[in-house]
Amino acid sequence: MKKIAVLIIIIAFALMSAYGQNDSAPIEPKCKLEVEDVKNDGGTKAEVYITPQNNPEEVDEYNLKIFSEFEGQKRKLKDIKIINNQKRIRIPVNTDNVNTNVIAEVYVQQEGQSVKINSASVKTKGAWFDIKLINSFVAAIFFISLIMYLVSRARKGGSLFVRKIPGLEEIDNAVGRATEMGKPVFYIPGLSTIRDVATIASLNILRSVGQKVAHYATPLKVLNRDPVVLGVAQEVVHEAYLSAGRPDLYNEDDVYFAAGSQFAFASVAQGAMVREKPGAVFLLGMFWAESLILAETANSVGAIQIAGTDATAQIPFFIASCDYTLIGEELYAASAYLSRAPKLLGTLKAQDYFKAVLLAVTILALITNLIGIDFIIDYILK
Amino acid sequence: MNFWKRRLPLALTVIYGLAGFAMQIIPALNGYRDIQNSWMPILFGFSIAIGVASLTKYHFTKMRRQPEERVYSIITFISLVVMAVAGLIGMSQDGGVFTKLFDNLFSYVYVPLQATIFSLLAFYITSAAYRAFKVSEWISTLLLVSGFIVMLGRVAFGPLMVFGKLSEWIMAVPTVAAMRGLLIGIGLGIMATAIKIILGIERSYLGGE
Amino acid sequence: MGTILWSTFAVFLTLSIFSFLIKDNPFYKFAEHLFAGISVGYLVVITFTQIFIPRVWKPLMNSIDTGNILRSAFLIIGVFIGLLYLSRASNKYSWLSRYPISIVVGFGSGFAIAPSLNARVLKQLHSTVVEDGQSLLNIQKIIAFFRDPSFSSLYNATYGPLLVIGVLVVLIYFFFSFKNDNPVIKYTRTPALLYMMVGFGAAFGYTFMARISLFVDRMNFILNRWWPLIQNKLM
Repeated sequence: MKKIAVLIIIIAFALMSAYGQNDSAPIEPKCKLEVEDVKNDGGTKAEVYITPQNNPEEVDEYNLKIFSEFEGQKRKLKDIKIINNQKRIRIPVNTDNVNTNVIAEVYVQQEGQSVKINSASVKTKGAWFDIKLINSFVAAIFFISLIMYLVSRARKGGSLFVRKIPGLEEIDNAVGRATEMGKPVFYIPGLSTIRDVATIASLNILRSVGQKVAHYATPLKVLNRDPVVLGVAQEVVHEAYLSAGRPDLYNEDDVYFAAGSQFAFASVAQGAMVREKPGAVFLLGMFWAESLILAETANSVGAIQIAGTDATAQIPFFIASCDYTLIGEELYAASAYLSRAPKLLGTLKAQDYFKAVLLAVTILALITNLIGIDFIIDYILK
Repeated sequence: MNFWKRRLPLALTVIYGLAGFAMQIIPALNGYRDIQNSWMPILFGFSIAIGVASLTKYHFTKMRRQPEERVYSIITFISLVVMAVAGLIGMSQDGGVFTKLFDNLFSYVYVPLQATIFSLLAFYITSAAYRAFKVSEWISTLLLVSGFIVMLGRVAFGPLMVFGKLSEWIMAVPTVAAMRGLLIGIGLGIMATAIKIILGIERSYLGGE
Repeated sequence: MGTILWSTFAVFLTLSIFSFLIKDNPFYKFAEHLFAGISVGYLVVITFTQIFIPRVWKPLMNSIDTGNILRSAFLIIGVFIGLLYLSRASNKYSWLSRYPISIVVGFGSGFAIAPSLNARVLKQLHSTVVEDGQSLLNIQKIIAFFRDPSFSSLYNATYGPLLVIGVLVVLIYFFFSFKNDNPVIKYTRTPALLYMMVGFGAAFGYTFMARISLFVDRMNFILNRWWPLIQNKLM
């Protein structure tokens, strides 16, 4: 009896195992799928993580499809084969719009058919604050309040000293000399667009030059490469002549569009200089390689050259070639320096104070860094 | 009238300035940034018309005033019109006569002229160096000596290799320090000017005070 | 044949430009005026094909097709504001062009503040304190120099301090509202000029050979590309 029972059990196990071998239990393709919105971004990025949960022998590859859904329009962003190496894989996703649904779907091939085994989705969100930018934000707000404070103080009549800037000091002499020689004054407000802050700084100086030129009744030619700058330069010169009481001297054709490209401009400008022989040439604003062509031609016709740019690559050429050069920041200081308007002097003062604070912070950072404290480097000057 | 001519443009500057600042600081506004930026090329595109108009007007006046120079102004006109027409018509009919003309004008006129004007710098840089050499101020001398060392350093061989090392040092230490100091100052200058514009302190771009 | 004619014309233009170095002359004037016209014509074409069509016309048509009213309205307003530039042609209404200018300048300025602070100021100051994770004022390197004086250990020891001093003095040089007799300003002035002039000189020297090679390139064009063409034709 006992033997029969043992036999039955053995047969039963044998049958069971045979059954299992015959019809191998259907493997269930599985994977873990995570879709996450990227934090601190503009709300267009997401990340998809896929972690295979089968052996490579069971499922050798997964097919990951990523879609974006925005305002009812579904678009396929990615369709990738993920080789199963049982590792978690990260796939960054970029969408075009904020608040987009990012949908990830995973398929595997079963009996020649693609079968969806998992899906997940997330809605991208824009952050209102990027923690990585907090130092810039605080510094910018600090700077703005410093400017506002010093401007209001300057308006109340606090005296503000500005050191001598030789290039700006010489503007008068240069115009005066051109007048004595009976020669025109040339002004080039750089070759960049009005969006370039250097161009705006230059237009400020143009205003002063325009006033002086009008005062002496010396001809002024302003050569432009950017059409918008041209329009503004015309207005600036016109207003300068008006304020000097000589609107009759203003001729719109003296402020003109010379050419449409960098070197075409250089060729027109050097031609004009050689033919009209200006007594003074102002090259102020943003320049590229043409800087030296303009400066050297001006020199060859015997003009006093006053140059200034914030293009660090061109400063050496101006220094080598020109009589006076405004170096970098001096170009921006010009408007306050020339007009002596309290509010502009106030900003200049604010700029100095802000720089002094930054210098102090840097020196402090250097010292603390020596004794192994990295706080300033890690959080303020990063 | 003052409102339309002065105040409203100023207000627009303030609004757009703040918007521009906000779009850099607040990531959620990134989407609007691209939309807003799409205006910039449009505005630039229309400004070209002013350029063409100014150039035309300038040359017309010049033709009247200096009849002996007339032929040159005519050359400018013709080349402008031919280039523009060939390009615009050529665009719609690929491989046609106009496309060929435009391509040739570009490769055999525009490009060589550009390269040649650029290459004039070989002469100008030499004459600038020569003049700096004649000036006896210590500043120019320093500039020239350092320039000379770096120039030799770039082509150094054999016993001149010492210039190579020296120029490496010049490029890595004093040059980096000077340029970095300048850049920081310029960055601050740009910021200050931008803030002045947004606060309405700086108004030169509107023609004056 | 066409290629030869065009190439010869290009050579003629090249020589016309070079003739300016001797004296202004009709050939140069011709080339200059031709270039001015061609460059503006090219600008017109580029504006139309690379700005107007792809960035105005197509997006506008696209957004109208897809019924995106907001976007198309936005583009149309942009075009309208752009058109205001054309008011410059009239004396009476030229002030209308201030609107696009205000927008461009305002937006550009606001947009520039944060990046300029970040990239030009804070990052630069950061790399003046540490470089590649190492402090620039590294006492270990100075000690290493005294232990084993050599050119390379001298370079290593002085590299950081000299760099830091340079950046600081150049920064101080551009203070505008402090008097010159302020001791900090007074004693850093000469070192700052020293750094800057050596730096500018280096930039000058570095570019020198590149500029010379531009001329060599032009000569190459004439002697090695154009001349063989002519020779082939003649022989």
